[in-house]
Amino acid sequence: MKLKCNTIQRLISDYIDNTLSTNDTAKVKKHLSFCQSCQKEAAALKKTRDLVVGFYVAPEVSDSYYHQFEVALHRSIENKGPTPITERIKSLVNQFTWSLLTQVRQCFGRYSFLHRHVLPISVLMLMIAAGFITHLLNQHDFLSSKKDHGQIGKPMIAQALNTMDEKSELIQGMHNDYIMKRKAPDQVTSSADTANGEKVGYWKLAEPISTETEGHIIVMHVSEDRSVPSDASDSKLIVYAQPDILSKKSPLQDNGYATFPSGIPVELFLAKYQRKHRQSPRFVNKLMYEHSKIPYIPELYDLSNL
Amino acid sequence: MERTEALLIDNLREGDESALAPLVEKYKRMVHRLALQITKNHEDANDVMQETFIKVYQSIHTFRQEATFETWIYRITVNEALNFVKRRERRRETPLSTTEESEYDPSVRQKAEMANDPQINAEKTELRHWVTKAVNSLSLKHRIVVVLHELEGLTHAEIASILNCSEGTVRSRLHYARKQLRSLLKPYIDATSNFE
Repeated sequence: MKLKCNTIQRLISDYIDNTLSTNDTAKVKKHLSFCQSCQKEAAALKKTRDLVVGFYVAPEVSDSYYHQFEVALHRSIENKGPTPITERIKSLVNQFTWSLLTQVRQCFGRYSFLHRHVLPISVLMLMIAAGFITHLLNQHDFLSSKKDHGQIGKPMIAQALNTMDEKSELIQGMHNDYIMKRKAPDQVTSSADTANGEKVGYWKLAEPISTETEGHIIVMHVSEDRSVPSDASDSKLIVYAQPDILSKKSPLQDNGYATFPSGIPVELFLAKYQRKHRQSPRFVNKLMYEHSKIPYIPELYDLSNL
Repeated sequence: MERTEALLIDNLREGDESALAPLVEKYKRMVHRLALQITKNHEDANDVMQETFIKVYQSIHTFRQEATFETWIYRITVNEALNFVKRRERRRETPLSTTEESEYDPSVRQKAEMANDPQINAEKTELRHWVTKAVNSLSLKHRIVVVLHELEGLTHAEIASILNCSEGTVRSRLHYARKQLRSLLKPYIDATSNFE
């Protein structure tokens, strides 16, 4: 009986407003016919409503107040003028967005399960997305290198590395070799040649790579103190390649990389480059000297983080 | 020739500034009343009223005929008033404790009644005082629902649309507010029959 009264009392407010359905109205009426406690509740709420409606004093102000207000409003509108077209466009976009969101909300409302569990579902989806991204990063073995050194940039374009590709394997090997070398500070800071005659800090190239590779070849230089040197002749040379993403960027101005268009002999490009960058002849000479070591990597990394 | 509200709205949309004045004339009291009931501060209510009509003028092109113009103005007023209340709370200003009864000018009707029968009307005045005080002591969300439903006579659906919440929420808030008012006005509830 107690529970029944509670249920009924929740409906009493609507009952006295006559906003209940016919069915519910009948139920409440039937209950009130024998339950004195609910009868009292209904009567008290009805009197409360009547008191508020009948005796609440709505604030009123004089006509002169409104007159002053109208004058001020007119002045204010004259100063502000009509809404600029940009504001109108913005408001239309806002309106559209809100309408869309409302529809989505209503749609969610229809699926009560989703509505009730929106938080766990969101967390689950985030976890799946995070797992997928981590998997991709691990596949490239760049996550750990970034953590250790903070020097290798994260992939900008998540092109899956084709491990079956012979060249990719070669590059992966070179990269690991490079990482290993970076881990040994003595070797890195030393400018002396290693035992096999290769410079420390450079990618070890297992075999000469053709410069006629498809796409662009990007040459990166990094100075020992991580800054972009004014003359990069003493900088390290790290090589990346990516078709048609980056182009025409000066190695001395834009995070230190240059691109070589495909299909053009490197010598020809460098000659052109030399003419364009007369202020850094030593770097260009170095590029010309090193260009045969340029490998092909079918991926692009954020060079600015290097 | 007097223009209809729909025509005024169309004219305002087309940039006819003169169409605003009749709309202001029609809704100014309602806007001011609602703004004052929410902000409980005359200065803020004045600013809310000004912002509301400026918004009406500037955003009339966003008004869709899905709701009535009146509901649209209610919505703007409530939003503006809530913004003012939030801003004031952020500034940690002390809001006027309850709507100061002294701030409200006694209505013309009230003054006339006082002159007629001082005995009964003194009691009525006291009752008005307590009812007004009780409504103004409700929390903001409950007060808005009470004002819009009991005093402005809006339906649950209209209030839900203005407050951007469900009808169930409106019903529940109204029920809770009534129960609170009932306990606040308990001493007067039995005595109301004297005035009926």
